[in-house]
Amino acid sequence: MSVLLLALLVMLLLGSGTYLILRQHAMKLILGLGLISHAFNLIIFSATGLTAGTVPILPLPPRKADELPEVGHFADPLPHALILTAIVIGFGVTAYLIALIQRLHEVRDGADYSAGTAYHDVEHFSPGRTGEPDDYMYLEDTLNEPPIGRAGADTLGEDQ
Amino acid sequence: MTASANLANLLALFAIAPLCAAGGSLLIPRFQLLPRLHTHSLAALLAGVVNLMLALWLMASTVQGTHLVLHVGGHQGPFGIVLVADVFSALLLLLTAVIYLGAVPFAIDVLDQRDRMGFYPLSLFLLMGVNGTFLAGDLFNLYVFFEILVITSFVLVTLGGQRDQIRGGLRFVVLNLLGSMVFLGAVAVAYGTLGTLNMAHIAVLLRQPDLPAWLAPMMAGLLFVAFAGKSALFPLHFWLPCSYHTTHPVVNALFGGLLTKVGLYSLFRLFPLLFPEQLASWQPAFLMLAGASMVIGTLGGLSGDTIRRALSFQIISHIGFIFAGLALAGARNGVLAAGLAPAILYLAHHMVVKTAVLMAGGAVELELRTGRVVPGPDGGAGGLLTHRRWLAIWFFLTALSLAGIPPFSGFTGKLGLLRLMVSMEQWLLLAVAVLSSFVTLYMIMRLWQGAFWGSPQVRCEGGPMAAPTRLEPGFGLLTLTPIAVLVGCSLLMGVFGESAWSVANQAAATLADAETYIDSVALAGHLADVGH
Repeated sequence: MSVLLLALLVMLLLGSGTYLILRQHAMKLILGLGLISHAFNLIIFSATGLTAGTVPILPLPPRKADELPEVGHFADPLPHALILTAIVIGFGVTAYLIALIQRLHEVRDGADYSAGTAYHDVEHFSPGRTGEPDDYMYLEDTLNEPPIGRAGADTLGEDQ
Repeated sequence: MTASANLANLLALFAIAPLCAAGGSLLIPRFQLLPRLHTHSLAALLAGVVNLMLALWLMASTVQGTHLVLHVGGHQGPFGIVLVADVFSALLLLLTAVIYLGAVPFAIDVLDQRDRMGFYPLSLFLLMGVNGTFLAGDLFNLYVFFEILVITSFVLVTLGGQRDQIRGGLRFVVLNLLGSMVFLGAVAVAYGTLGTLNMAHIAVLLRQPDLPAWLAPMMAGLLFVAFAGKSALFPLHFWLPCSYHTTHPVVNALFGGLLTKVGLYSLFRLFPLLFPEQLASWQPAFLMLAGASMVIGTLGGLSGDTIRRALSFQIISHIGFIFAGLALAGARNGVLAAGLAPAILYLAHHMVVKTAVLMAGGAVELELRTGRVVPGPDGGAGGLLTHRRWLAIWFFLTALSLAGIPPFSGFTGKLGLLRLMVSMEQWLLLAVAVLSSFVTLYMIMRLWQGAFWGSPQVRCEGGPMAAPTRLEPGFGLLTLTPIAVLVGCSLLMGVFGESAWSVANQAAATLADAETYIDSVALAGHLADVGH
């Protein structure tokens, strides 16, 4: 019964995740991906069946050397480890995706980038050795200093 | 046994060496040692050299068909982490090492501010992910190494933060992320039904007669979707053309050589081992996908408006060629190996030559300050032939190899694949393959003509080419030498076709021989005893 509920939940998560991804909206894209990754985590979680009310630790009664321990009622720890890895990876990628979308908005609003400027039309191939500033300084500035002209930057009271 | 077990410990170095170099360069502040060389690029160079030596050693010790198996931490069999190297892995590791070591000098020569944004540590993480994928002996570690490489490529593809890069990179990230999740679903199905993730163990358990009929097709389907997405096979290819050309030429060359090939490797590794039935019974669909990839890749390359866009899009057509080899091999019951060999040879050729041609194309773009070299109203007449003669020569040679002109490696590989198609009587696929080869030749000659012919003084009015050509310093020996070395590799693979074929045959035989793989992994683990 609980497996059936879990299956329905996975279905719901996958369905709504797919719906959200197809919305063409950055925030909904992130939410949709989050839902889908949770659906797959649940699939792994339920892969070895659901064991309620126990821990993934084998009881170790004194036994002979060649004898396998009685497994009995025992939660498989491996799916937990797999999910943990998957969650960490999913979390990292989601964070990166948010940063990317943030960057997309910044670049779109940035004065240095008129709309429709293609990569090749920007004269940025002046490798560092010539010493003249190029477009990548833009990114370095945003990384190293509080961005100028954005909300909050002035209120921090720094020596701008 | 003990000697080879001790030697197998060296397999871990394929992941450890790049990891240490990457971690080291993240910890140690970056400072200039020589005018061109700083600590990060030095670390990358050293790791690349170590990696190449390891790969050469591995190639030498597996070329006879032996398997090297490392049970990490001494944990045996299906429970521990297993790294497995056979001649196919060794071949791809060797090519990866060569490509990486070629890309680092190119990066030292032409990299811009991205140099300071951590290109070298990222490229090392990429190397680690690629190496690990080629060695992983179980599905979950395949997933983990895949993620290392994919997440690194997420950062590399957007490194620089250009508008186009972010837009293309977003698609790249989302589609690869979805592919990874499908892969994870396959892992869940494998563990839930078979109780193991070790590939050899899965192969043993999948042969049980009383398995549910849906299990193998379902796993095969999920894994196929995941890896077809990663290798940019036809219906799942669209992340590639929208992202590759926006990256820096160095990143583009590295991606062109390594990234999609990892997905292909996984298909080559898993399908003959785990799903030989599906490989045979799904052959018509696979062949259609392969043919469609050839068409899409070639037409996309033809329509590409910049040199790197055309060359990157054209990768998809080569993916189609290589995948066609795998699909054709599936139906030759009992002679799987005979079918796989040309595909492996073509894969090796493609990795080397694609990197070389993308480097040369990138160099052209850097020199002209625009990629729009296709002859037409807003491009062409780069006129590089007069003052960049060596670049012209190397680009021409890589182009010949790419199109499959003898005596380069493209010819032997393509000939093998075409002969396979003839012997299988796949006439439509044969026609598509031959046609797409000719169109590729046309495309690349057009690029060559646009970039190198004409007079550098004659410029299109107001177009992007109006920017003055940078005749002063520019790139030099560090760019041209790796291209020359890669072209040399291609030439050697073509001229000594016999030896190249024997290695490819050996790799194919090893891939097709699931028994030996299972036995060598199970050597200490006794898989059969611990089955369900």
